[in-house]
Amino acid sequence: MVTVLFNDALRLAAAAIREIDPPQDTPVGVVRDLYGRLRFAIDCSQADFDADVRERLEAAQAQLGLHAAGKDLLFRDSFSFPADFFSHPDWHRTTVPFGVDEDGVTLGEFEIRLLDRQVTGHDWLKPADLASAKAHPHRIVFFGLKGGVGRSTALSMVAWGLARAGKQVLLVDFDLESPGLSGLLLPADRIAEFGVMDWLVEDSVGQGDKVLKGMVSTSPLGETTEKAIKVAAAMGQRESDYLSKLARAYGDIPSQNGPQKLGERLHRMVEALEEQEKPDVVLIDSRAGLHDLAAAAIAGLADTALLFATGGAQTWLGYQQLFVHWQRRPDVARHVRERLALVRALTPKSDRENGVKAFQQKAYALFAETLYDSIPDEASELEGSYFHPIETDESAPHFPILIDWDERFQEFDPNLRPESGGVREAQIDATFGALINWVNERTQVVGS
Amino acid sequence: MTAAAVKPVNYQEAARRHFEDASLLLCNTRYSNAGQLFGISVECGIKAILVCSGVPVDESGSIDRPANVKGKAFREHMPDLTTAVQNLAHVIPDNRKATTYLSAMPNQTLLSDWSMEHRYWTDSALPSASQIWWQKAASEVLAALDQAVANGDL
Repeated sequence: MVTVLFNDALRLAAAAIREIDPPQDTPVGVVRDLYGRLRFAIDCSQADFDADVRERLEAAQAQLGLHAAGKDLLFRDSFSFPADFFSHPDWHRTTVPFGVDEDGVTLGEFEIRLLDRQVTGHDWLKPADLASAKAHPHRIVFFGLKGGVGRSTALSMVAWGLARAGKQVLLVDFDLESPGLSGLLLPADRIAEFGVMDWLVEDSVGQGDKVLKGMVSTSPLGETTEKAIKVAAAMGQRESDYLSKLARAYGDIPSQNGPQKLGERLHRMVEALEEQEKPDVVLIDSRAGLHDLAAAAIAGLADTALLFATGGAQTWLGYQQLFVHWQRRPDVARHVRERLALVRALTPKSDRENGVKAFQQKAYALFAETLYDSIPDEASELEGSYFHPIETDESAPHFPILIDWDERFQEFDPNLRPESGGVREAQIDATFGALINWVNERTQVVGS
Repeated sequence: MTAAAVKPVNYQEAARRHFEDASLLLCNTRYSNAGQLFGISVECGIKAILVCSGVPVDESGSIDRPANVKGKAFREHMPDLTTAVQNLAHVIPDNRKATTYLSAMPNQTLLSDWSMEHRYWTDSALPSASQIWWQKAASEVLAALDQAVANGDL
């Protein structure tokens, strides 16, 4: 038997459904389990399903080798509560590409209904419905595929810029595995007693509210601005057992409404902090990389998600994986894309104009191929109902907001006054001004 | 397939059978035995999760005592099974898997007044007011088993 790998299995399953063409009144979905194994799932009882079609599907399933979850299909009979399974919100219309043939000709694609049972990463496909969410301050997530691109520094400068403009700012550190926001914004004696990590472990036993007040401190960075900058850091003052807490922070927590996953818990925490601190804007420092913390932040919380990129091939490949993951679930892509905004970090000063243009072209190409709708061939009733900004549209998600590379910010201590070696206001505006202005406008126009 | 190859014990199937029969009895106002079967379905469901999380079984498929553990270990009925799982969580080989499903069953404590001995009691002595809670606990357990089926763990 031919070895079937993960990359082949879903394609083969989709091809089987297309070929077998089951009756329309009992559509066939695909379940991919925690181990990457597939099963066909049909929302009816086995007795009510065409026996011949069932046998053909069973044969197709067997062809998936070790990526088949057994020989049996899933029917309503397989579950005690079949309605809960077949109407689960994690079912998505999913586009499965068939790749290219040996001549390089694209073989098309096929849409199936897929239920992906995942160990992690659920939140990438759970965009919050912002239209019906309760009123909250504008939340901006700062994300980068890689660390070391100046994301946390940029966040600090945006916080300062917002406070200067008269907005009360709350910063929340989601970078739990590289806790650093406190170090950047808070001298040692200003770090709050508790951190986000403490809230997570106390919430596991039902008492997150006990540490909420002790989680927030005020940054001296906001002492010269009109409004304050409050910080909820990852780690609290005098933390001595961080790794023990980290080891159990991400698990599902039992509740009367079923197990609560990390994304829901972080959402509750942010809402509780907002209720307590009443900020005008919330800035979230996400963990770098394609991690559950980033998923919860970008998909589940962000009104705006700033995606930091430095223009290397790794960056484009990494973002392409994320964007294609969304692209294949069109309903999800539609919810997420307009919240995104690309930030070019560490923009080189040499050959700046050409470099910026090349970056912009690459950014547009990526979004155009993945998250933007295809442009209709001719004017039709579709005109106006598709989303595909032009390359030079400065308000578009792909149009990069630029942060220059400036060595003054490499080992930057925002707590230092200019006379003591810190940076001056003019230097901050020169490097981060474009981003600060963009965020100030965004938080006025797209308010909640 | 020989008889020896097919183990008679299948906790998942048993959990579903007891739950479905309990539900039928409930619809026919046979509350006493419905309550008894809801409790047994909870026991079977929890044991199905323990087995898929690596707790050993004997040649019949019955849950066995893990190595280096004294006493009955997980070979309990409800409500003592809940206590056993809490006390012996550290010996479950795939603790993470078990936790995933057990965290979806927070209401096992609703069976604190359920007992296997109820099968010998007169109707009037049974805690009839608790039967609705036993049904709730059993529904949770069966829903968790559905999750395990979808996840490929059962």
